[in-house]
Amino acid sequence: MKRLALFAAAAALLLAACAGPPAGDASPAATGDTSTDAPSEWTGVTRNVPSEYPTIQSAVDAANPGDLILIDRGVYKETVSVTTPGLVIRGVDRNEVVIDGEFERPNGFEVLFADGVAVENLTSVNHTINGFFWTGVRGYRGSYLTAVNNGDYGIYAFDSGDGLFEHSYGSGSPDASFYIGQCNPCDAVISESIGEYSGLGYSGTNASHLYLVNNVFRFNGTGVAPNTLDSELIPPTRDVVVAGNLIYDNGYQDFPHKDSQWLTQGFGVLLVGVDGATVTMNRIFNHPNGAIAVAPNVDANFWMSSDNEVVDNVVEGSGLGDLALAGPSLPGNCFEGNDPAHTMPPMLETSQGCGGLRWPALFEVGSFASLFGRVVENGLDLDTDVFYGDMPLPGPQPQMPQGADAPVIPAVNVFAGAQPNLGSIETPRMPAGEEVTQQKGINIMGVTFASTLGGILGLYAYVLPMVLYASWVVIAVWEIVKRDDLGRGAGLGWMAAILVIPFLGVIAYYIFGRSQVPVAYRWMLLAGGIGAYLVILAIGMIVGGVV
Amino acid sequence: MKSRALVAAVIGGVLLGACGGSSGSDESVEGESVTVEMYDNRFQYTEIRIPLGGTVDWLGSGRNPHNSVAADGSWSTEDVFESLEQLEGDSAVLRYDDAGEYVFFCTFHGNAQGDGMAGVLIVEEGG
Ligand SMILES: [Cu+2]
Repeated sequence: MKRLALFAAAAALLLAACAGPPAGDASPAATGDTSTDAPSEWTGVTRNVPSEYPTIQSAVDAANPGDLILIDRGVYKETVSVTTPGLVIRGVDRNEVVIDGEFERPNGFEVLFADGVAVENLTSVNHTINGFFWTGVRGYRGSYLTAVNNGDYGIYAFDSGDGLFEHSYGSGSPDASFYIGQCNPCDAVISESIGEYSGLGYSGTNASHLYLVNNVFRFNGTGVAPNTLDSELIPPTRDVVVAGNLIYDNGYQDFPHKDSQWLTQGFGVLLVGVDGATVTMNRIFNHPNGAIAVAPNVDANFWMSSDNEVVDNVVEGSGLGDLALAGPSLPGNCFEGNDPAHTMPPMLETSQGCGGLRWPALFEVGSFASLFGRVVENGLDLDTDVFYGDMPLPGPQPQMPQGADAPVIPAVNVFAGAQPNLGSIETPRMPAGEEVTQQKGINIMGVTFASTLGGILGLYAYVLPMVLYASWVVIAVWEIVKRDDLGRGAGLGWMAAILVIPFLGVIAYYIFGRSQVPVAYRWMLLAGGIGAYLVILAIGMIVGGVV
Repeated sequence: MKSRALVAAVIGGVLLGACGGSSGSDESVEGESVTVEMYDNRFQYTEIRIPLGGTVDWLGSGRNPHNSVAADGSWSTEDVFESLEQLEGDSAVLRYDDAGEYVFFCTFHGNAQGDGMAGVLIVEEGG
């Protein structure tokens, strides 16, 4: 019975423990209910700030659904909270109508369960949380917005559906310049926008069926990171289209970040726990790790990526691999037409092409091991501390065409008009003055040495299990060959089990196979090695603040 | 967090995952001392019942900062945590010595009218 228990414990080690997602429901607006409280047309009423109303909030409070709030030049020190549907809130000058949070107020604009609100042609800076924030709405639009140095997200839609962020700029946010979270289908588009100097240019947690097209993501920790987490509802993230974007130079600068942004830096596009994304026609260059990586995500559940298609991108200048498939992954991820110089694992476009069965033939796990090293470094506070308010200010951004006189259109049925035609998307040209500079870096079995501690710990975490396993197998097979007490059938049977069933086969042999290796040695071999390994991992995780 | 034990499993090269998610939908809770996790961007429970003198541990459990503040201004997690920005693992235990029904909300992701990240706390007399 003891043996059985030991075997069960070993088997349990091999199986991921699982937790259910937190309870609760996403709002109907974020899950495909198309009903809206907003009028689809302007009422014809314009409420002028500050000539008629001293503050934006007072104009918003006075407004009826479908009104235009027109804001004149000035610096406004207020949080604008919107609960009236269908408002169009517009600055007369994108660069000179500024909402300043003074690093005291949390949000510049917050739209709470008010459908169809559009915010246009103005700037939101220095908020402790978000520059612009929509939540629980059907229909939203941000056009010609500038969000700079806001402490969580620049431009943010949560638990909402049917939206568009266009011609906008976000920088200096520790989480992400642009963020869409918790929606399926999101029915959302981000286009013609720039995200830079943030933890992530774009982040989308549990945000499915949306498009990122013709944007620029540069100078962030990582450019674009659709992801799946248990901390938000309706996982996983599915059906994201990333097309025609220019993504470069992410992972070099000191950028404001949270822990997870620091841990995952150095990629152009990073799909973590994503299902069915399409990444195509992007130009991606200069990243310490990789241009495009597909990986699993570890949260309360273990979210593997599947059915992602990485096709016809220009990928250059990657330290680790222009393309990477980090394991384990589910079937269906494929890479074709990207002409990579090198991939992780090697020959990825051959082993994981888009024709045929698309089984997860090979993936590399070394980068996970490197991640472990980074976790420890993070816990030791070896990451650079960057205040989000210190990021460079952008120059003047392009004005909305027609400015104050542009047509007034509430954000109703936005996605129908904004959904891009993928056939017309082109790969962006190399921007003037930029060149590919990143060389392929050193790695040992995929463990990178982007940081010293990360490299050493990564190597330890990655290589030791392999060494242990290899030694188990060699000793067991050698013993079987030498044993006289086993019949040929039993010997071959055990050998087959050891060679064919990873880990469990050889463990079963040591426990049940009447091995003549003295018990103490067997314990040392099995439990001692694993024990030392787990102790190091445990210390690492305690230091890293994971537990 | 025990879930992070998974990290060890993954890094160990122990690479088989088997997951069947389970979910409950208990959005109300009752007890003498209650823990309420603050997720991105909602409260674990939107209806909380405690007896007079009971406590609520408002526990940050998301990647974004959160807080809990009474709509009538009578209490706030800031009273004990000294900041409105509670990140993952940050706890604020409040004791309630006045009976009543309080609408509460996160000042970052909800409002005093109960829109967005918000709920109701009922502190019951006697019991
Ligand atoms: Cu909150």
